[in-house]
Amino acid sequence: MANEERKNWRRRLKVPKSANKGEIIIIKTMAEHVMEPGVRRDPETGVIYPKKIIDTVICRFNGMQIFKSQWYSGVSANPFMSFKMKAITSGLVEVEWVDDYGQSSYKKAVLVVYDKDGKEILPIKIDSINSSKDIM
Amino acid sequence: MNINNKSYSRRKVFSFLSGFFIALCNKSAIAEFKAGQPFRDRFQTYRQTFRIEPDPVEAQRIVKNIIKGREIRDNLINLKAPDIAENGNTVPISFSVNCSMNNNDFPKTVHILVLDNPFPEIAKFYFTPFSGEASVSIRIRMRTSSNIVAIAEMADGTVGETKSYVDVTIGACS
Repeated sequence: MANEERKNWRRRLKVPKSANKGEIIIIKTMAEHVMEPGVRRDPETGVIYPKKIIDTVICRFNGMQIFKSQWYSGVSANPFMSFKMKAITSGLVEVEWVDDYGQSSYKKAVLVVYDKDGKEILPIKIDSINSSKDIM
Repeated sequence: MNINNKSYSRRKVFSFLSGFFIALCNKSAIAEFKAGQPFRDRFQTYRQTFRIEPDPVEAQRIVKNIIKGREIRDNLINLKAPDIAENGNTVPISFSVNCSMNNNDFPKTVHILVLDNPFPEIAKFYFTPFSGEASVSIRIRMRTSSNIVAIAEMADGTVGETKSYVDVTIGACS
């Protein structure tokens, strides 16, 4: 039983480690989940298995929501989804899966974006922070 | 002194009653379903448990509600789906929307429907200009061979629609 429960919580996220500026990257996500549609019956007793699906999948980049999808019972078990994102600055990619029961799980990955010259583009300008005298 | 005693006792009685009530609630929530009876979850609607047959009228109504009488743009969505799917449990599909993802030229939502499923809505996708290209691939369930419909609602209010027919040999229950 415990093993089955753990099965529903395994998540995978694939993000390329580095990209050039302006490149469109592919993010692949996969969740191991039963996705019970709430229609199937037990063949012997005729009892309906209760509905349990992943409801929403949200992708955030540096805390900002860039993509969201809402699923119903028609998505297959162990749902795989891939979508695209434009690489502008390097930062943190988070993908969050929210269950029908409000339980959520997330995975994160770091994306590094390089300039034409091979310099990393940071989301915050560090030089401006160092130069200001207010922050000590 | 008497009054104080009285109020204290009343409080006791209330606390006892509430505790009893909470215990009852917990029992009913935890209670396992009995064999032979349809078990209904609190997130399950009536429609979810009892309407298992596909309803084409309802599917058309859902499509109508999304489009709302707007004109349909041509060549907006490229929908890729297999001609023949052996297993209805996993049908891989992918789509992409022809647009420059600049201001007001991106799809706000993309709906995917399978008209002959008992629950025709399958997924909605919400895009922003930061997703450089509006293209998604996903795996879906199909009960019988039927049309897959993808509808894109753009940010400027226009609508695009494409259909593609898929033959399913072994259907899924969804």
